[in-house]
Amino acid sequence: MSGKGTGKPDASGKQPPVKKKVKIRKGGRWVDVDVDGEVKKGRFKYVKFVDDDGLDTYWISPE
Amino acid sequence: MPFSTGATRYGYGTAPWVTTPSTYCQHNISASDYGKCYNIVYSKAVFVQTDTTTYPTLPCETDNTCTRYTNTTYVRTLLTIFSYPGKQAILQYFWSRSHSSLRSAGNIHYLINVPVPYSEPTYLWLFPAINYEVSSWPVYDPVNNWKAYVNPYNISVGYVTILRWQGSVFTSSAPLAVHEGNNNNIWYAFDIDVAWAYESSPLAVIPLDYGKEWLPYQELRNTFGYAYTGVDQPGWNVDDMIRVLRELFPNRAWAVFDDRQYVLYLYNLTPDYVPDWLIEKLSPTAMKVLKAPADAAVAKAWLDLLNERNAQIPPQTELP
Repeated sequence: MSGKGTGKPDASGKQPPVKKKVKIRKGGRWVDVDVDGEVKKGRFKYVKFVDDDGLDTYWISPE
Repeated sequence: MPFSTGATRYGYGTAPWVTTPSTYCQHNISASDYGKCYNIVYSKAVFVQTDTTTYPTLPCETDNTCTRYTNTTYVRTLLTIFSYPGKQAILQYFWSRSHSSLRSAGNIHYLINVPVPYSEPTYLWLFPAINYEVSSWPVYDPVNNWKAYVNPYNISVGYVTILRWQGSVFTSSAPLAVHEGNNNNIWYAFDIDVAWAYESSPLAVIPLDYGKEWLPYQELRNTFGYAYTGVDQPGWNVDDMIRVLRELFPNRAWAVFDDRQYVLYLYNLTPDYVPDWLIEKLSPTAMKVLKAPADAAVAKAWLDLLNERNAQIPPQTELP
């Protein structure tokens, strides 16, 4: 899961935006992810994050 | 084992969303407007005229209202609805309406110019007995649950025939074919709805040309089935499907749906290009971008073709 978005200054001294944390249901467990955005498709809403496999991933939002 | 439904519709001159279209073509060679087609609702009608000396070009060819064939045939196969090597589907339903220059014979086995999905050798199963004579319409054959209507409404030139069938035929392929009976100088326009079921499987979501892109590649036929919809293409293994598609179509947009994890893998695509109706159909838990589109036109081409082959609603201008 993405480890960014902690709110601590990066090497350039700039403050990266604080990412929203969302709980998703993944592999039968609730997992916290730092999301980069949201996409609405039809009746469903997906949250965007970089998954463990390094791929941009859009996961269905439990909300 | 869960099953998925595949459904598609085709319009050749007429379209399902118009209840009583007045589509027809002129095939009277004495008429001044010979070879013209009128009131085309969607796509093109079909015209068969073998004489290319007297009629090098028909008016309907010039104005893009017909597809002309210059050969006659007993049964003309227009396209492949689905072809699932090594997998089975169940043909369940079709509704077909045809406007044609030829009237169906009293014997409804010879329903000339009405397109039907079929599969050898089950072709005949869809038809009533050969000598099933009828004297009045509509016809209902209780054995095959087959209904046929002739001229439920009238058009200026030609005949209207409607067929409806619901049942169950196990088959691994279904072409869309028209019984022309070796007739020349004929025309027909039609629309048809077809529904079938297939075992839930991972899917390759890429609209392909059956004859030029799918059939020639043994790798594709070993990896997933073909469907005109570009969606109902069941495969055997997600990893194999991704590997083969990467190899054969590195510059196209495509998607693979994992029906166990409910993950939709996107290649040269982002969710922005995935239509809502596809999300509704597959209900993926996640979408993963294998490769973002380097060129938006590639992703757009995938979306446009997918929408075209899965037109579930008419254009807004056609709505009543």
